[in-house]
Amino acid sequence: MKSRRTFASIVGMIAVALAATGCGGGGGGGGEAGGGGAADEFPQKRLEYILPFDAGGESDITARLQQEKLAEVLGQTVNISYKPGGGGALGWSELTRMAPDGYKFMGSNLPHIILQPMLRDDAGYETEDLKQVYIFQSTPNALLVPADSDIQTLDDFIEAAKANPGAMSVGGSGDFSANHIGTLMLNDMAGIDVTYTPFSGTGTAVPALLGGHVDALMSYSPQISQLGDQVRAIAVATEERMPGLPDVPTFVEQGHDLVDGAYRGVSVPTDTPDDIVQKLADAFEEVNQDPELVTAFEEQAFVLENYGPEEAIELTEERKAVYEDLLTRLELVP
Amino acid sequence: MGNIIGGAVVLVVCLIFWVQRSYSSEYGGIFPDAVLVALSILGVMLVARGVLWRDRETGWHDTGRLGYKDLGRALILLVAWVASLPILGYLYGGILFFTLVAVMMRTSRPTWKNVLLDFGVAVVVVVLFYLAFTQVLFVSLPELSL
Amino acid sequence: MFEVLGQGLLANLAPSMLLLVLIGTLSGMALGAMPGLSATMGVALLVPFTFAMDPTSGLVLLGAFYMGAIYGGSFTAILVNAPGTPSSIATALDGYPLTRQGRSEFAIVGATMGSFVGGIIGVIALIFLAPPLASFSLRFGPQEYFWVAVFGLTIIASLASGSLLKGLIGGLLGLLLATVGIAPVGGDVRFTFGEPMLQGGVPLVPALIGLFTIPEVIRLIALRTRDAHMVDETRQKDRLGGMLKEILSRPVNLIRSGIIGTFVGILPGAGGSVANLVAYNEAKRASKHPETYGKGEIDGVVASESANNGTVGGGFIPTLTLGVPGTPPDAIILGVLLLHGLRPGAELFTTSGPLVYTFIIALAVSAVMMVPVGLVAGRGLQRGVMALPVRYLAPGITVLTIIGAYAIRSSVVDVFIMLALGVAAYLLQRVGIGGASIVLGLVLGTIAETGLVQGLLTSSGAEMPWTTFFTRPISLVLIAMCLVSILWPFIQKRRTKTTTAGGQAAVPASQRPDTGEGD
Repeated sequence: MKSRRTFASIVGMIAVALAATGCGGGGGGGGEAGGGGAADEFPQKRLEYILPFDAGGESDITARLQQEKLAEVLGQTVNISYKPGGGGALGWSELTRMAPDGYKFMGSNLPHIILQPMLRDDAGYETEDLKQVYIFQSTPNALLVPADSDIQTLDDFIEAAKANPGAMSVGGSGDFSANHIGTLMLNDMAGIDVTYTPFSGTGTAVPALLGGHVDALMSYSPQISQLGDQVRAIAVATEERMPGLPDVPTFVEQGHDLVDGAYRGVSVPTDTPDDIVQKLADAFEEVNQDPELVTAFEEQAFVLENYGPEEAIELTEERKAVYEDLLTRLELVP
Repeated sequence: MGNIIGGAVVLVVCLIFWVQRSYSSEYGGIFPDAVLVALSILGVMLVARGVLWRDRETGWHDTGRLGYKDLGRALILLVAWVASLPILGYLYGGILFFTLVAVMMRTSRPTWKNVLLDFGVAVVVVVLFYLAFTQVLFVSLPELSL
Repeated sequence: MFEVLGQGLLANLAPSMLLLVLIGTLSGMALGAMPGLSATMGVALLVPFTFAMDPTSGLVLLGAFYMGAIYGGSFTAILVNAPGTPSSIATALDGYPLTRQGRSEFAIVGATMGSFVGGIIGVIALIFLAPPLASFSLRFGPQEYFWVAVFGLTIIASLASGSLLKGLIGGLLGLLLATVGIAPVGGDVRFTFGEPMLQGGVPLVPALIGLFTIPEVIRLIALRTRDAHMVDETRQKDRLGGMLKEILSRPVNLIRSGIIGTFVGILPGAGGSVANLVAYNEAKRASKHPETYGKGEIDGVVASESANNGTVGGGFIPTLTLGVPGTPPDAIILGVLLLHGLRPGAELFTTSGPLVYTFIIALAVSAVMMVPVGLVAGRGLQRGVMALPVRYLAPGITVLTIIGAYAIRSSVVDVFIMLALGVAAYLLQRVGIGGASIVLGLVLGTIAETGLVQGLLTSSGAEMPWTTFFTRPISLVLIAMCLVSILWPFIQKRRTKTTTAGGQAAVPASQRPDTGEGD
């Protein structure tokens, strides 16, 4: 195992050296011209998997799981690096300026890449500037209350919220995240007014719930099993009950058509040639079928997704329409 | 004089931030506005102190006198080094400016032998860090781009 | 429990396990000593390697690495005034002045012993007090986080030995810098001056390096300290026995700081940055000679390092009992636990007892190993650095600062920000506004603002949301602590005034040569 890694990195180093000399001679302008031939031989050197978030988050754990398998499929080492800031916006605006050669790809999340350009005056990028390669995973929203709360069902929750408009606080991870928009959607659908309080991540939101500083938490499904009997999940935002969580009812079956969550994938700059994008997408598809990875995803209650480049665009368009409608009605779009 | 200059700088910083104010959420402005107001008040206090106490204290902080020429040279070297990063990259820029700094820090007129020695040390140090970061830790560093 | 504890201990005494801990500790130290490479990044780099191991070995390696990395951060703070993470800010405040006096070896030994004791105290708390401490940490809501940050900021009052006004200005400048970028709550884009890069705010590590290290580099290059070495070589060498004796002769400081580190470490999100500062401040307050702090006081180094290694054990308390990571590296280790199908919670200690206790004991073994490793490798590194002529040291430090600022986000802009802040800090130092207070504001500003706005939001049901900041019991305790911390320097001054009867106090404070701000 270890020797193979060393070997791979030696091969990688040689490839880098070769690529560097090649570039020096050719003057560097050959990216697009190489076209078809380039895709056949792609990749020739070490690839860079960039995360627009801090180390240690869910995206990071997922990427670390994929890292070695991607390297096996693509035949080159894959290096993970970080470009955190602005809830991911910093990395994505940087991505639009990177070389469109497929060697650098970046984790990209829905709804972040839809909502940031929509709601910020200058997010530094537009949704269309990112070419989504693959969406491999999702985490549906889930509404949690502390285990000792009086609230047993979604109806109890709505009743409590109606009794005291604006007073109930619902925590979640970040602004304009799936948690945030999920809370807004619930407000909208149920005709209630709960106050959303963003935390810097799931890690700081959860203690606020457990300590009773917020009344409920709009979080992601993995938290349900992770937190065990400390919390009660009163609804999860999927069409049907999740296989790993048969006891948790959906919003839909409790009368509210709320199906939403965060989707994780990778993107490249928009000018990247289609055949190279396809090659990367194929690699991610293959990795997504690795039994070891499938089990690991299941254990953490991640939902495995398989959206190729085209399907990812469709999904993005569809979600964008939903969000735009809601946010325009709430007068949040500038 | 030091107090007046210090206070004035603080007030200018406050002004620069103040004209940039634009908040989109209900509570987005509370904290920065509070900080800006407090900082401006303290800035005014510092200027006032500089004027009223001009005989009692200079307001300068004694950090071991540096000649302006030496200071200027140090600043120019550092700024040029950092500014060259996007062009020369870490490796070549590092070797060049490491050597320059080392040579210029010599007090006696450097001989060719001295320069060569400094250059050698520069190559060893810079390349060692370069290899450690790019090959062992897989952290990429800025590369030469001309 | 004691049975599994014993098993855990035995498992750790196996030669292969000891070797693993040693490798983890050593590589952690090496990585921690590089500015710009955080413990978090290092642990993340290591994760894929642990997939090939059995769960216990993998976790032991990660834990030992983490412990070593936190300790390794003290080296650059002491030797070149470059705190690589917020958790070693206070180490630099006294460690670097010691280096300039030629006593860096003493500082390294102090950091080593502090880290050792702090690490052990954290582990003891993790073993025996995890459930009660975890439920205590849950009582800290947004309002309490706000006050914790304010408490951290009160240290400015004792840092600013020159002029309180200038100290406050420095702190507020730091708070202002902290507001650049996306608002932590509400998502407003603030003070970016039209530059999308600034959405991420002023990056912390480049700012730390810029504000602390660059003024020193400027000074070294400008001084052209001839062909001399940085420090007085003729000074008689301290002896190891003597140094150890002096450090261990004040066990109260060691233990108190370790306890502070453990307690503050259980607060998710705030622990690492705040613990070392609080411990430093408390050490200074308790000291019989507070005026030596900031000028090379070994107790300051010991306090800071004892506290930040205490946060390792403390941070694992909410991680293992609640599934809430106390620090960013904990988040990664939690992820690894989950990947192996281990669910955190009180039952983790019973269902997977052997694994958990082996892991916890390994943290303690790693803390013990830091002593010989630190005393040999750490002092070796220190001798090597000190043997360099300044001619090579100054550009060498510059190389490190550039890598350190760049590596966090692979961004040249961060290097520019580092240098700009560094030059600004040098100039502000000339008018008496020190970099240390700016750093405090920058580090604590986001925590304070987040707590403030979240507190207002979560209590929006109350008639006057503001009042919740003053009515909650823990908030009241924290407010009292803030007041004591602010007023203490004045009380102390009054005390010394009455004892030394005027004399010194007649000289306006700002005319005294003041090294209290880490210059």
